[in-house]
Amino acid sequence: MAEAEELRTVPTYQDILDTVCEELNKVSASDIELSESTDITTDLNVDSVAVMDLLFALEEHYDISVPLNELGEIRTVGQLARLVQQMAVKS
Amino acid sequence: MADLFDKFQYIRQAHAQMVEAAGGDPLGVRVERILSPTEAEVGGRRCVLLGSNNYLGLTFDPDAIEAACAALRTSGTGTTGSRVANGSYASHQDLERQLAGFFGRRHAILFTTGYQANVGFLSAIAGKDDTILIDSDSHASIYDGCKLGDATVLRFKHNDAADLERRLRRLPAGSNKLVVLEGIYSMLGDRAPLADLVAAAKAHDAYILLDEAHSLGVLGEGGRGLAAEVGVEDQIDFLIGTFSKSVGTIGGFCVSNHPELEAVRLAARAYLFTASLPPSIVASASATLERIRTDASLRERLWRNTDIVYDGLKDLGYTVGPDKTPVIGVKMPDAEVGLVVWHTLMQHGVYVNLALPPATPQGTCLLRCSVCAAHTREQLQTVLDGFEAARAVLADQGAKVRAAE
Ligand SMILES: Cc1ncc(COP(=O)(O)O)c(C=O)c1O
Repeated sequence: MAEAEELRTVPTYQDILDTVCEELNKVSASDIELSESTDITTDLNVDSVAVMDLLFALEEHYDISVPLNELGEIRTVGQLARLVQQMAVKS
Repeated sequence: MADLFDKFQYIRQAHAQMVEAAGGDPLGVRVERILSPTEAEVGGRRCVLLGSNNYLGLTFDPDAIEAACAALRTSGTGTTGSRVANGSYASHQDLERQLAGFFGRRHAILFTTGYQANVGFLSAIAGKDDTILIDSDSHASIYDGCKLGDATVLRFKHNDAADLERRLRRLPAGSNKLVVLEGIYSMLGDRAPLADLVAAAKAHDAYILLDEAHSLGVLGEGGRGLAAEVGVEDQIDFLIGTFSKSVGTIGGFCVSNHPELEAVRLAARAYLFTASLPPSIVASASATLERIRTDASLRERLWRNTDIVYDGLKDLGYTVGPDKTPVIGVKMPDAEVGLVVWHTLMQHGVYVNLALPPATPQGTCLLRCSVCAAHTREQLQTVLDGFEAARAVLADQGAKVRAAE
């Protein structure tokens, strides 16, 4: 029961941002402090395939599917978190 | 002023570092002389080719060469036109009928390469309200075809039928869904668990496209690929393939029983806006396809050789892909070590492909080997001797990496 209720609540933007940072830290070799405006490719040197792989973890965490079409516009950590939030609201 | 090429600075730096570390450019290997399907002169040295995709060794098939020469003489060096203009010769249409017969399908469409077959078909078929679900390890041509189309594109976990099923379940019933799979994956050589993936797709009324690039001529009765081997050919809506591997030349195709397949000829831009295959290529593809269909001994030899290389590498302690197929991805701890091992193999007269991210799954560095039916026992011994010599280098490099950490 508790689990079902948890699924229904939409996660906050801050929650998602924290999760995104946590996942990015796993794949990035960079030591820089992550913020919303950190550029995933140029600041963290995380390539596009690694971003897609990281998406699997976020999709699982929030039980969503994020279309690859949406990923093209994403540059920063904040944009990625906002995209995940949009998808979580839709589902 | 900024330079248009500034954006490549990072790639160029990484490449320069790689060339320096390897003492040569693994991405710029010059084949000075090709001696046979399995041997070439590279850098003044004879090498056994263990990275050619030439699974059946048919690039020097005498019948194919004769047919190509005859076509050159009678029909010239090129068609200089699209299939929808002056580039549809009788031989193109005959080859399409032959392909349809080969796979037991009603329709076949030739493309100029396998890359164009995927890009052309996928971008044309993908409408705004449709969803394409692709395996995460899909070939670049599948990703690119999706990018050019208007459909929603979802990526499911590699070879994971449960993950595919979960994603299909979230989609509205009644909407068009297309699941894209490959027979043998080109980097690690693993097979798709086709029965499970097909069951998941069909439970949600999804269409299935299967790219048999590396499994045509390699698996299944008559060399028809993984779907034939698994017994699910009737569930595969669209089968895509290439002539650039076991068929030993160049070209791509799509075969299907879908009554409307012909519409693709009027919609796929990679079909419309490019010249058709030269007649000599069509003639050699036709000859080798017939050989593949009728000569099972080629496949038997290929698999015997695959046993030798796959088992041999495993016995030497190398980490190889999970399935035994003629595509053998040998995992390296990182790119730096991979380079040194690759170079050592070259020095021992063994050419393999050095595969680096983003072409490889999960950012790994692979020494990608492809076995050929025409490899002799002696050549395979040279291969295993090379890998044995490289083992010492690998251990040494591995220790260095650990010490640096
Ligand atoms: C799975 C897959 N599809 C398509 C292609 C493209 O084939 P072609 O060389 O005919 O363009 C390849 C070859 O690299 C491949 O591995």
